Formats: sequence, structure tokens, C-alpha cells
Amino acid sequence: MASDALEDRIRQIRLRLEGRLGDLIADLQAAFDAAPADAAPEGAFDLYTRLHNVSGSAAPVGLPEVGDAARALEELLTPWLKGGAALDGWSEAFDGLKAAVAAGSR
Amino acid sequence: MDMQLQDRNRAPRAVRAKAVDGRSRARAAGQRVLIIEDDDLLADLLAIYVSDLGYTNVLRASTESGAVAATEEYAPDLILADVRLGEGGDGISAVRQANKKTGTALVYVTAHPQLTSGESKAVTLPKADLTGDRLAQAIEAAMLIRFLQ
Repeated sequence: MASDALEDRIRQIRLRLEGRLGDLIADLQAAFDAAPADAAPEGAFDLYTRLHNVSGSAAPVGLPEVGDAARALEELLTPWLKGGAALDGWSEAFDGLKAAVAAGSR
Repeated sequence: MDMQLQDRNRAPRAVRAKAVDGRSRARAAGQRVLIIEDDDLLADLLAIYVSDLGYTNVLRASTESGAVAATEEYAPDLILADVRLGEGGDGISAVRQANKKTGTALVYVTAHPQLTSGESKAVTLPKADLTGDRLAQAIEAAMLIRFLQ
């Protein structure tokens, strides 16, 4: 059984992650709105790195649905963030990430 | 090992290996760990886990060049490494350079486990499966590989 102190330290990391999710969603939305569908948005690499980090860190801190949704979106957006066209289904995947984040914050 | 899924209140999954005995803890206290991870949250999480396992000498690097430099100066017994370090380079490349010199126990903690399939002397733990239990098991396996080398 994990100690309370250990779980509390991990919970603090989860809170830090949750604090970043809103900004990531907003920045992704702004990039989608501003960039053509077949070209990389401004700050693409930063967006990619942040999305990739969420896909890796969410599950270990107790937000597996957010991690799964971020990973699904990351796969579909990777070509777009690298200058090509996003793969079909990215919009639904983005909705999935927003829903997972909203559910996780309740 | 006690492996629990999340509870209804979204508390972190069981994070501590039940069987961290005194001998393992004493061994861990005398060893040096290098965490190579560009995501500060993951690096913090890994540091918490290894601290819980008894490791007290823990250094971090977030880039390939930083990892190589840290290895040369610090000579870690154990490396926990991400594979993709963003603009900071390649974790596999950093680990290969490190292992060439010191024979370090290696655990990749990565979202891309397929990328480490050729790393026969390392243990790979997918980030999605990262818990204290799983990390403890991976470290034990990496230490065994190191011992048998």
C-alpha cells in the first residue's frame, strides 16, 4: 500500500498537469482556427511536444483517459504539426481530448 | 506485487512496490541514478518513485548532451531514460554513449516502446504502464542484466 505522503506528492504532479491542460486545449484550438488544414501552425513543434508530454504523463498520475485521448490526437496530428495534412478523424479526436479533460477536472 | 487500478476518486494507482526489502533499500542508497527526461512532470514523478525505492543520489538531464556530460562526471549505476527528448535530442543515443563507458543498468521509460526493440541490454517500460511497482520490477530486471554482462 502506498504511503499517504507518496500519494500526495503524485497528486501534486497531477494538479500541475491539470493546470496545463486548459492552456494546451486553448492553444491547439487557436492553431486549428488560424492555420490552413494542410500546413503547419505557428509554434507547431512546441504544440507537438506539449501534446506528446501529456500523452506520456497523464496515465501515470491518474488520468489515463486524458493520456489515451492525447495519444490518439497526437497520432492524427503528427503529420500536420510537421507541415503536412492532419489525418482523418483529428477533429473527433480533439473533441475526445476536450471531453476527457473536462471529465478529469470534475 | 500489489497492483491496483485507479479508485473511484481518481487517486493515483498503487505506486509502491510491497516487497522493497531492507537489503534492496540499502543497495539503492549507495547507487547513483540519472534520469534523462525532457518533460519536467515525468522527471519529477520518476524522482519520487526512485526516492521511494531508497535511491538518494539522483541527478537529472533533459537533453542528450546534458545526459552525456552528466554520465561522464557522475558515472551512474542506473539510468532511467526517455527516448524522445524534443529539441534536446535522442535518449537512445545518449544512453548508448553512457553505457559504452560505464556498464550502467538501463531502463527506458517511453511512450514509444517500439523504438527500443533493438536495445537488448535495456529494459523498456511504456509510460502508459508506469507505476511504482512496474518501475521497481523494471529496475530489478535491469540490474540483473547488468550483473550478467
